[in-house]
Amino acid sequence: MKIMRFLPDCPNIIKLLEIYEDNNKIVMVLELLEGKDLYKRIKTKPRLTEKEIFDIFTQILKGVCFLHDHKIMHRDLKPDNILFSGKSDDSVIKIADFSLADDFSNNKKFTLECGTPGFMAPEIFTGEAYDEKVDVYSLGTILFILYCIYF
Amino acid sequence: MYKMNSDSNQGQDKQMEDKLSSISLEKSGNKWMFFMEEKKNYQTLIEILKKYCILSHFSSDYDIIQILGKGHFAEVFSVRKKSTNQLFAAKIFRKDSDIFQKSKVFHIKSIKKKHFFSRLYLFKK
Repeated sequence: MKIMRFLPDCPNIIKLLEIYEDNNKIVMVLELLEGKDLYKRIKTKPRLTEKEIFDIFTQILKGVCFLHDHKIMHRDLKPDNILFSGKSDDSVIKIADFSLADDFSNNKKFTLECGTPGFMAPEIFTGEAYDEKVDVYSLGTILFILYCIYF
Repeated sequence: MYKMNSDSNQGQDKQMEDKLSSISLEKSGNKWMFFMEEKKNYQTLIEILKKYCILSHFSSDYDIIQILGKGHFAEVFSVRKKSTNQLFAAKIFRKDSDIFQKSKVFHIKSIKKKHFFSRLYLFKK
């Protein structure tokens, strides 16, 4: 939440509008996206065409590149966290769910094991110190699933 | 009315100072007062304030319509703003949930014990 608050606007990242706090709960008001997530989209139709995959993946790369330029790593990239803003397939794509994101600006060493099994880089499992390149590994798994659908 | 947040990040504070260059902040008693040099930036100031400060009455400003999804940490609802009738999404964290009481590491180890590639098997079917 602290991270999303300081991020400037980017077309490929979900926008935070307001924050409320109560005795029992914390509420973040975000923009509403009407489309479904990428995981449901892969399951419904038999296949995405190669050009559609190219368009989708360049938009994801733009978002991740923007995050890494601002010294933030996402750590939980997967098809569930990538959303279509409209109902059609060629609408703008946004990256959501920053609950595991962290900033790596002051050369901190990260050893916390977190993320979704299957999309996590191997160095997270072994307990070594890792850096922002773990995002690149999960991007690779996403691209593989988009092209091959089955494992 | 507004509470200033004590968490701050030095590099990103400078960006915020550039945005708020025409506005000065003074403290009188227990209240923070804002003074503006130009009136043009009023709308942008309100947008920035909503992002950086914490408000307190969620249920009086918004109506909850339906659940959109559940994550490990929070629930997501679609909500309607009462004043403008616009639709938004709201992510609600309960304070008595796992993140605020136990450590994150405990939560994640419980995920690790489940089927390792359970999600990926789904693509085969």
